[in-house]
Amino acid sequence: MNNTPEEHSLRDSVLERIERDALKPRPVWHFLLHEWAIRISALLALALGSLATALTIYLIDVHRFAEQHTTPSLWSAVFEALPWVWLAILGVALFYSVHAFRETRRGYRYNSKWLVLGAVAMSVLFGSVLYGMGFGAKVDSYLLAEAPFYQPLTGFHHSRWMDLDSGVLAGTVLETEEDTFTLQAVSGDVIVVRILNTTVARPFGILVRGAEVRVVGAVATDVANDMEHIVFDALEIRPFSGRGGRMQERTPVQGRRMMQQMKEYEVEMRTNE
Amino acid sequence: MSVLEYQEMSDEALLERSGEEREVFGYLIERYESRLRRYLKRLMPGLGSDADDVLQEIFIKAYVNMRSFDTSMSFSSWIYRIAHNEAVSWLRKKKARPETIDLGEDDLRTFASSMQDSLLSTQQHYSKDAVHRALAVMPEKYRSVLVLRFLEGRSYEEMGDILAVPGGTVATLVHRAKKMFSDTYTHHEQHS
Repeated sequence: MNNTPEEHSLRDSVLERIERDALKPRPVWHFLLHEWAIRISALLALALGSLATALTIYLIDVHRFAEQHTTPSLWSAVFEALPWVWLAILGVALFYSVHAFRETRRGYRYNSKWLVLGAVAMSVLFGSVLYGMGFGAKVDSYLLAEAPFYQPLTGFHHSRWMDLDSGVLAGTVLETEEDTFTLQAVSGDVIVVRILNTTVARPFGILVRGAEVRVVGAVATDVANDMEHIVFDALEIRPFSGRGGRMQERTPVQGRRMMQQMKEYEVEMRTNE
Repeated sequence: MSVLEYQEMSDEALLERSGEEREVFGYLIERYESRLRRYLKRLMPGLGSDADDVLQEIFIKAYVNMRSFDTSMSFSSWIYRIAHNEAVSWLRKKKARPETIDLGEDDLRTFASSMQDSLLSTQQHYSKDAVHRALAVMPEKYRSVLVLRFLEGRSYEEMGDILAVPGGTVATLVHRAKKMFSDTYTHHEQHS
């Protein structure tokens, strides 16, 4: 090495320090572990984002029916239909996954704008698949039944479906006849529901004894109604499971549990009044 | 192996060899000491006697983390990245901002001639003092970009690897840094 002593000094001091402090190159597995930990955390964040997307799609879908009948304006319907909790989780998951990906060894080479777009696209794609597979409904039903903190966060109000003045009611079908059926509302009242020529019932065959349904319509004005005999004209009938999602998403246990919760809620409301 | 053989080896080969033979790492130190010292001086002229400590820290980090070296980039970019991070860390720790950056005659000529399409490259006579002051007041991020591009002669790809940003971002940073320099230079020239 043809260098002057002065140029040697840094080289010597570095090598001396390496020897003195017994420094050794960190093993490859140390870096691989770090790299994979970041990658896996980014993937987990993306998975959470996809799940949040599935829940968002599901909740918007099931709220769409509810809000158009129970909220006063379009804006309040839109505001209430958006599942803010899941949107917030989605936002945090996307932010973290992009940040984590940029922390990988070659992540800095990708433009943040494309990383964000990629993360959003993947969340929407996988979220839609999860929604299509029924994960949105399953997770939502599970959380409604098992996590007490979840229900208030999602703005789901049982009482909305026991409001005759607003033209909505929910309950269990007791008897069905040709043009009418009797419904035991969750408030305990037995209500006769008339099926009109224009009534829409989805899905076909929904009206069977024991089915839990939601009905949109109005209290009949051509008959004398009193507290014991209320006649209700149905415009639209849908199953009530969880949030009133699709029939195939309902399971008997969840349905009964939901009805029990609704009854308890009604009792609580009356007690408070 | 003979000294000559080691001296003819590529940086990457030397680094790989350094894992087994610590002494081989000395060749890399010798190759990069003056280049990195010059880079640090251009980036933070107030370094003074701390330069040796910072340089030592840079090489120690390179040695300890040598197995994290990404072969898709050059060793040169990798060690410059470590140096850059160390410089930024030093600046933050010291909260030091130079009042002026004395580039020296050669650097100044190189800088003025390579700043294509900028105010500086079209002027026959430029104020050295205004150049030095303009560089000094620029944010570290933009000063690094100008130093790497117009004094170190780095490509956009290399700059991306050193600064850990995408290639497209480097182009934007260079454009903004040139504009900022021109504005600041004009301001200082008018007031000098």
